[in-house]
Amino acid sequence: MTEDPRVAGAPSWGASASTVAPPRVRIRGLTKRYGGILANDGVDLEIPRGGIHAIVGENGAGKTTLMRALYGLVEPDSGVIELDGVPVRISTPAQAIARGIGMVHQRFELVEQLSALENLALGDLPHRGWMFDRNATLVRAREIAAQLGTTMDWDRLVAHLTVGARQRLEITRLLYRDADILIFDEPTSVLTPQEADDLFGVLRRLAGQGKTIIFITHKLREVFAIAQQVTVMRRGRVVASLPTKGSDPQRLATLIVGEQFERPVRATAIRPGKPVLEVDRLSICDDLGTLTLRQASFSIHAGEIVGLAGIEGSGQRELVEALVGLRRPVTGTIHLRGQPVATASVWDRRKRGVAYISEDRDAEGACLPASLAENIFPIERDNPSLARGGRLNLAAIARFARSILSRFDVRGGGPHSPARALSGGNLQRLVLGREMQRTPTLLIAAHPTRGVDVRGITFIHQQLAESRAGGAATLLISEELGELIELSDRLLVIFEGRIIANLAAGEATPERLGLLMTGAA
Amino acid sequence: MSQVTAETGIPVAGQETIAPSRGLQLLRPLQLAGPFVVALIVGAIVLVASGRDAVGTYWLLLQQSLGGPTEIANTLVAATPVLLTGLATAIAFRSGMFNVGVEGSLYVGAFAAAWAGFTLTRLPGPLLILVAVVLAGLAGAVWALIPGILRAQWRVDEVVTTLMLNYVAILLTSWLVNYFFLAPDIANSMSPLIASHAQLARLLPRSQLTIAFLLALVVTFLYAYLFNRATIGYQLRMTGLNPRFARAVGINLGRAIIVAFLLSGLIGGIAGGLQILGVNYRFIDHFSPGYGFTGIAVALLGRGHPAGILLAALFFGALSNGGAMIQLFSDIPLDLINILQGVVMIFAVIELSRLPFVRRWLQRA
Amino acid sequence: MPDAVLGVLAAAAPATTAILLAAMGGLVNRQGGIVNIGLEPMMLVGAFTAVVVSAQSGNPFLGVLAATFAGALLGLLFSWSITRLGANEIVAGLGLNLLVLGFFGYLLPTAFKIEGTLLPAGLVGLPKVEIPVVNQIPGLGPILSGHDILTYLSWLSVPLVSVFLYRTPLGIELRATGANEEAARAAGVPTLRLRDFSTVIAGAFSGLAGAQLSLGVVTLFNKQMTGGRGFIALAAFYFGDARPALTALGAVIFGVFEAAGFRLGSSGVPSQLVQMLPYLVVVISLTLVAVRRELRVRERARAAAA
Repeated sequence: MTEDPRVAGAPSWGASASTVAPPRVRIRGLTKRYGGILANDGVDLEIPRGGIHAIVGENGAGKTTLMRALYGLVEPDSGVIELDGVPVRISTPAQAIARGIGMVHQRFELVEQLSALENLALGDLPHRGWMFDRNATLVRAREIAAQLGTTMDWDRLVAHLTVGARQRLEITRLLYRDADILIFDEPTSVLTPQEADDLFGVLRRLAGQGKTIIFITHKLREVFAIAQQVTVMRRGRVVASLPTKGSDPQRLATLIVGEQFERPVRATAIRPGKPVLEVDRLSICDDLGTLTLRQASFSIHAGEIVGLAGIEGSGQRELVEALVGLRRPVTGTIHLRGQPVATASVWDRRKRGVAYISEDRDAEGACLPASLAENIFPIERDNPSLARGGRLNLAAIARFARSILSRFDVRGGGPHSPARALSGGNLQRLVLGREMQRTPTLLIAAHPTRGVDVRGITFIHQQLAESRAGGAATLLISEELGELIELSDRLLVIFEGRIIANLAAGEATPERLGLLMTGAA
Repeated sequence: MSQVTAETGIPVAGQETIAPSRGLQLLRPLQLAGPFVVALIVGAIVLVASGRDAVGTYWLLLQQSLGGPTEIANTLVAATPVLLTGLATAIAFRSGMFNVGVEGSLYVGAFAAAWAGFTLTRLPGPLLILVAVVLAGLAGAVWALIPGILRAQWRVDEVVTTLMLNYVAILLTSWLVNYFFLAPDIANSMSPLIASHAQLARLLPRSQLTIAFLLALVVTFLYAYLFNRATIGYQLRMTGLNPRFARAVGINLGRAIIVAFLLSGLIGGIAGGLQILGVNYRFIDHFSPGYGFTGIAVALLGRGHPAGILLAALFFGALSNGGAMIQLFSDIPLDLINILQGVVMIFAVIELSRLPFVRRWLQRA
Repeated sequence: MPDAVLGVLAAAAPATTAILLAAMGGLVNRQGGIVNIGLEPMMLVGAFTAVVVSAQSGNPFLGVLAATFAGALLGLLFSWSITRLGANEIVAGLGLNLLVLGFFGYLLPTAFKIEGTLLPAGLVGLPKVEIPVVNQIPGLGPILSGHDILTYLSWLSVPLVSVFLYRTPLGIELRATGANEEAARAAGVPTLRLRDFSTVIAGAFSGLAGAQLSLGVVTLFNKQMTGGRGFIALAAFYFGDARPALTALGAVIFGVFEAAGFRLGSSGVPSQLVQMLPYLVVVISLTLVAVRRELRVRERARAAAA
């Protein structure tokens, strides 16, 4: 990428450098490595004072890591952070707060059992004598709320506040601690559209008061709604930093997903068979009772791979859980080969040929403390050659495990080694071995190549293609658009809980998908 | 408010194959023996502080618990109930359930066995014994089913419920024996004697050893079989190691929870039953010196492993038997044993690796 | 009102004091995030310390003070094993029960050469306080007046604990620690120290409770004298969902039953059934809370989809 990372079109305040006010935040050469992964690779970024600056990029682009470094949650391996031209060292959030930096995380750090007012001042509760000085805090709280142009029921327990109100409380907390630089990590991911608009109003007000707001988001629509500047990150680097005014959304989408995309070799066209999975007006709630999937309808046929593209948190997770049997839908139906299964147990669906590659390999896809054989065995536990009359045939199970380990080329241990000893790629092969040793009727593959080495990725793609040829219906979820386009016969796009597009493979390009996924289309 | 969770930090058998560092590897056997060693040190301090001969006392303890066939037999007798309660507790722990209510199952099981013993006297000996044991197990299982269902259906935290139900069981059986089943000719709160043909035969003269210990060994083998070779044992183990994984591969968590509690209560009940049939021959109000609670320590020390549990139970049996014996030969109160047991329990769950000087040593290793 | 009932109530007040004090301490501990099942041994240690110090000094109030410190110290050590050494609080609590009971069982015959009850020479119990005017009120008089000072302190502790938890900065931070330790820590609250503090409070209150037993209710020490009150206190604060007023109510109810149980025994109602009540109440109340929680989640999901 050859885009000039420096802010283009910034107001010039004078010819000579010495009279140009330094940017509010300047980051130079920031690098952070987590084990083998380079999360931030020599990031250079300038953020001027006042105004709203958006940072966009796909999952894993490095946006959150960068902001966490700024907020003192992460210690960079190298690089400099300057505030108003002065290099600073921020090693803890307390130091960041002392310098006027505040961050609102995706998961709020509020204590539900305390009131809004108590949460506001927690950690630094003002007191008069022995008692909590409620009045003084209330005065300050109201001041800040007026500054934000919002209202708040200060005595309400946080448990009874709406998500939007909680977020406002978090913002108020930042201002209570005199934050001048406010960082937001995907703030609208938990808000309704109305609440999001209210938030934007608040942010505009704060920017108008001279605060510097940094806003991490996936959604291009939001960038154009409120940001003056946008920085695009990909694979740990800044690829562009430009003003939003006059920018082309299409171009930004391209920058986000990258152009290193070779036209894939299209798999042999297979005529899809009968519908295997039919989902009709499915609506699902998450654990808190919030509706995350709305009236989704689609079908997958035998021998077909349907890709599902969407930014994280658009409802895919709940959809996957409902298809596997881990979550009950609120309304709608799921039919597997014509049979209704929306309320069927997980085991029932497994026996009907549903295979599941979980996106959460370590916590759900595998049982790390257990042995490889124990990880391979569960779905076949009613197989009479492996267990009869409630009794395990240990030798047969070991043989079975060995055959799968070799068939799927799992390296790092034998049937009795603990799964913990395997690398990510090998563990995923193990998971595939368990789920795909027989051609599944319906395969649900959620981010199957995440955290897998290159050799493993190729292997997984092969397996997916093979089972497709064998007649399996596959739902493939992936954040790698290239992979999705390469493997899928059809592509669905999900955004804010709704399926908003159903494209044939030929019609899908990363740019088009990028736009759809971010709601800018 | 923080929820009390089942994070006892018990590394379950089979989990310890990979040690993160050599230092921690070295520490592991220390961790197993640690609580015992610490307890003995504490006991020694207590003895010395009260002007007694620590070495002499421990020698006497050793002699009285393991010094001869009669002594060993009585140690086995003392180990039997805690072996069973240890196994009962471990089944629940390994299934991810923090069941501390085995004492309650023990009591109701004991009562059921006693009742059978003095009521169903018409039955011939072996059959009566069998019926008594079965009833004891059933009673214990039903008692454990209460918190089990609450947990499976409504996610009611099982720690507090099982703890509370212990005392309900103790009081319930106390009520039953004092108001309905009091022995007619005795002033104390105890039931009539069980029929003589219900009493387990002594295997060794001058000791209380009966087939009860052998039965406990059988249960130990069954426990090992359950978790190594039974399909249901596999399901329980996966549920305990990773409930999310278990669910995703189709294991019915609700059913696993119920089974875990049933088995736990069953064995706890049998523990109580065998105590009545083999040692007490009648139900005595508040008879248990905390077998169920000691079982928790046994399960923890044995790390859920059948051999470890057996060893830990033998240790507690030796302590208990030896302690009872030395009471006869010295003026040392039996309570010394309680001190040792309490220390073992506490140190069984302390992570030595967290102590600063230990941590520094580990970093150098 | 019949004299018998009044008599029970009058006797109930000092009888419930120990439970009330321990329950208040346990409540604070729970709010800090620790379920303390070691209240009983802490009470026993307090009872013992009170007797020994009172006998040595001839001053019961010194005994009370010493008991408070002893309980607090035990609480601190117990807390450290949980917060710094990662011990499971339930198992450690059970171990503590065994340890302390064993300790006193060993100590009495060894150091004092007595078997059951310790009654040292020079032991002075807590004086009864008569409140003028109040003690003249017919019926209520004996209920409100004539108790030892710790009983009145226990009544006072309810509003004090309430104010502490809900109106002082320290109390608010304590509740935050128990409710959401991560968030509290992120806000800068010293959570480990606060958890330790809550356990020290529990220990101190339990020590006070023990002193009330050994210097107020009776004037002696016996290793059985706590009689399960620590667990009844636990039942009380579970019943009261760790809220002061409700917990106090539970403590009083359970305490009255405890006291009445022995009297009722002669009139036909078995004392065991009465004694069972606190534990059953806890199980039932926990179940109701869980059921309500589940129903609420289902309700919300249904509403969202509508």
